Amino acid sequence: MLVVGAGPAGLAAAAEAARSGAAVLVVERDRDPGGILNQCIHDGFGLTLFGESLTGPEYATRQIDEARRQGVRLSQNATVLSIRRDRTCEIVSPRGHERLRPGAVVLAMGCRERSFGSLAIPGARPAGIYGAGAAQRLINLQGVMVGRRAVILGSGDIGLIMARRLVLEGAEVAYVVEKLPYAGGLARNVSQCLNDFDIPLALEHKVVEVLGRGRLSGVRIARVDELGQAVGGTERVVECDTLLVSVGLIPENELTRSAGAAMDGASGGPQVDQRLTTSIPGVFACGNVLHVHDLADWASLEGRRAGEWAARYAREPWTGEETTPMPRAAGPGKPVPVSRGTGLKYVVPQRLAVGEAATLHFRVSEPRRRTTVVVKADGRRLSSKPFAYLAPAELAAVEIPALPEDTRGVLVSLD
Amino acid sequence: MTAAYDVAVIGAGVVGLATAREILRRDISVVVMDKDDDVGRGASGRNSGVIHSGFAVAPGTLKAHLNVRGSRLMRAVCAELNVPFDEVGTLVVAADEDEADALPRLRDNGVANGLTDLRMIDTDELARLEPSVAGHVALFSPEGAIINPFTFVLRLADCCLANGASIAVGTEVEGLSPLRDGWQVATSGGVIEAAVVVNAADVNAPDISSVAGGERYESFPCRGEYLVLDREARNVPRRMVYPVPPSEGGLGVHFTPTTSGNTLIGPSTEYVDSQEDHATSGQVLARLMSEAKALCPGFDPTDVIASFAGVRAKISKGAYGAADFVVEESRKAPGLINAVGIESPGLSSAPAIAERIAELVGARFADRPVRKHFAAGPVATSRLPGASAEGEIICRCEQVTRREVLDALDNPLGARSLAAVKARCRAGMGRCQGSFCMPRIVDILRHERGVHIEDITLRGPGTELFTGETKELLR
Ligand SMILES: Cc1cc2nc3c(=O)[nH]c(=O)nc-3n(C[C@H](O)[C@H](O)[C@H](O)COP(=O)(O)OP(=O)(O)OC[C@H]3O[C@@H](n4cnc5c(N)ncnc54)[C@H](O)[C@@H]3O)c2cc1C
Ligand SMILES: Cc1cc2nc3c(=O)[nH]c(=O)nc-3n(C[C@H](O)[C@H](O)[C@H](O)COP(=O)(O)OP(=O)(O)OC[C@H]3O[C@@H](n4cnc5c(N)ncnc54)[C@H](O)[C@@H]3O)c2cc1C
Repeated sequence: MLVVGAGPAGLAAAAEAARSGAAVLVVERDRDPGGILNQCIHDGFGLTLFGESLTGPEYATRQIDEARRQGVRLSQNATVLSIRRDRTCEIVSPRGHERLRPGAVVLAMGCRERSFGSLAIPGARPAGIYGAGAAQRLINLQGVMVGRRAVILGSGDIGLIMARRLVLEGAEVAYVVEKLPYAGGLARNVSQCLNDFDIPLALEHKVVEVLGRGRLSGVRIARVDELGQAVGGTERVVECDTLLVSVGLIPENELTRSAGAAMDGASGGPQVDQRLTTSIPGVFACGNVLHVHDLADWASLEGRRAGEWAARYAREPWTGEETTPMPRAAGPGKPVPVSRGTGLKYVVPQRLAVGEAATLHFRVSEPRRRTTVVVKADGRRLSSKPFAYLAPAELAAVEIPALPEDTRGVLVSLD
Repeated sequence: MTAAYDVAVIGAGVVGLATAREILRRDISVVVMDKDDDVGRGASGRNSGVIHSGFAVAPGTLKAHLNVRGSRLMRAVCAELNVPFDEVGTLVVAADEDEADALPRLRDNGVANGLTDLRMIDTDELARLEPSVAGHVALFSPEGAIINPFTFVLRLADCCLANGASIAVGTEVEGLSPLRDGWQVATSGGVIEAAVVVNAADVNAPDISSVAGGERYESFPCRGEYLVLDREARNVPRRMVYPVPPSEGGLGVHFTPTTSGNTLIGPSTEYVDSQEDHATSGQVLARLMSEAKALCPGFDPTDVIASFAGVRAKISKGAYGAADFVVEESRKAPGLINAVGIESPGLSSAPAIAERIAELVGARFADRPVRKHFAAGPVATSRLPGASAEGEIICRCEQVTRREVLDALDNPLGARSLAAVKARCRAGMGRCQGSFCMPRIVDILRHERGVHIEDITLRGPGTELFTGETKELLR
């Protein structure tokens, strides 16, 4: 079995698969395994998985040790360049260029940041504009300081965490600027990273221009209306030499698309069933490549499931593009499509095999108080779960029992 | 002692470098100077990369002659320099019957310029060729081609160096005084002497001409802004697609594929106050989006990965082709050869401009023999994905290896900014815009090439990226 990416999801998948007897190779393009966690030196990781608060590198170390104990092989500085439909993986590394055709593949490539360039914000492209994640790497792993006075665009978790980091490094943070009327990150990050450090959060604002030619000298910000358009007369210049951009994460699915897997535009990842199988036989996906998780622990839990099923597939492949109930493979059953009602941004998995219980993960499009999530199969209520508060920043889950053989469709909706 | 050359070329863009390369076919010593810290930072690195076949320029002008000849020479020059030349073809699309009236005029114009394979395309064929384009009918020029202008400039520079030229980057020309037999050139890096000066300073060429006591030209810097689309963008054309040229000048907002598989939308046409105004503006970017939608309704704005701008060296306001190129020896300042007003299609015309200037220069050095071992072009290194490629990937989007980044950093010009790396090996050009590779390149610069953190720049001096090490601000 081959796992692409040694982050929390890939390492968990690898360890789980190896535990059940599979021979596992993890291919990681970075010098060190651990994924994005290596640069997350703050704590708060591992509460679900290990029952204690760890830093990112501590969490990663535990996972790496566990994978090694299970006999997982790790190939570092190695990038998977392409995957074919027949699972042939093309890998390039300092050791050469090779092709492998494993019995199963787990995609765990994580995600990348939406770039400043994609926002088409006018200006002369001065120095001093960084992705928040890139700045996190520069500061935490490479010991390089990016600037003295910063504005942070976007209040996602990485933006919030970097606001605090900059202050701890002796820089000033003039503002965190957020287009929406609420913060994009977790409530605990707003409190621990902004409020505790008196960093102002400018809600319903956006950066409309970057100033300066050589180095950034400031940004022009403006209030926005409900449509996200700048309101005339509310513009003002905030002086700064640094702009960190944290405007969303995009699942890194170049490989998935190169393999020809069916994608879900809403989640940004491939379509999967509850076994985390993509539309390509023997190719599984988990972690941020499937949909962006808020917590590494959840990515790892998903990784475990992907690892378990991938190992089974490698041992005893089930046929056809459609998942059939396992272990009693009763012939190719049609997967049941999952659709979502209004107010839901996405639901994973996008299709379900009958005869197996499942956990559905979803995000809402806008914050909601006191709401109930209802799952119905062909109009019949399967399960429901009340929530006191749901925000787009918080990934939520609902469990459902096994679907009967003849189910035609599942609908997830908000009450 | 003052360094002395036969020829000093001001400006290391396509015109300056292509000219130097032609001059070097004879045993003539050449220096090319540029104020920026790398070659190709002016218009030559800020354009559509289109080799126009020449149907849009006014017949009988020098511009028409140089465009048609230049684009034909370009194919051979690209072959010599190992620069991919991709004949994707050009479509000028009329949105409706009214606009369609303009097409035969364009075709006749092209025929007058000597083009033989222009043809009209009907609605069905247009839909078949470019299903993403909304249009009525079109004019098709199969000869329209694209090149990568960064690679072209860099290979020209390599070729000049291989034939013994000096290229002085970071050297701004500040003054020109006539000597009895040539020029004294005052630069930010000291004084040099040259028998002949070639003014290829593009937007600054009018200033250079006046400083030297040559003819005076007006200057109307005219900005063009672009959007860059992801390689995976769907519902965009495969060929170059232009609207019918608008009356206010320029060629209209068009779609241009790049040789790397991206798509450009633009450029706009805006007169600006400064020759160096490479900023993008909010209104224009918004207009590019909406005009692009009109031409190509399925275009998805979330496919935008970057925006940029370049400035055209216009010497007259007016419709496309209102002013002609000036490529001649100054009458008022003999020994100064001017290339002025080299706006679009200057890239396409560059080989012909170079040929013309080299003839003028050659006339003064008629006794010089042809260079015995003229190296027409350097050989390119192989690129991923190739069967034997190996290495650590530094840029994930463009799949650039550590070896390629090191080769880019070790360039003979000593340009070590991130932009210099990007122009040479594409690291940072992809959809993540350097978020992934920038920290890695910074590590290589620091630890493998010994560059001090504070000296690491985005685009040369003035664009420093870092304040120093972490914890320094706390001291
Ligand atoms: C910048 C950033 C900061 C974050 N901060 C926090 C935080 O503070 N707290 C928190 O709980 N969560 C945080 N998260 C989210 C959390 O880290 C993720 O939920 C978790 O890391 C996802 O795990 P993963 O294994 O899916 O992806 P990743 O950790 O991203 O791991 C993916 C791995 O795959 C490798 N890879 C990708 N493509 C290839 C390929 N083609 N070939 C070989 N290898 C490849 C990558 O190098 C990487 O190591 C952050 C995420 C990001 C992007
Ligand atoms: C938006 C845009 C789109 C275009 N699209 C196309 C196209 O698709 N096809 C086409 O054929 N043409 C196109 N053109 C035109 C083409 O790009 C230019 O005609 C061509 O690049 C000009 O080359 P150059 O060498 O004269 O100028 P440049 O590349 O600008 O080189 C001039 C150099 O001189 C240097 N310099 C200036 N002053 C001094 C000084 N005092 N001392 C030292 N150095 C100095 C500058 O730094 C610069 O590097 C476009 C132009 C623009 C702006």
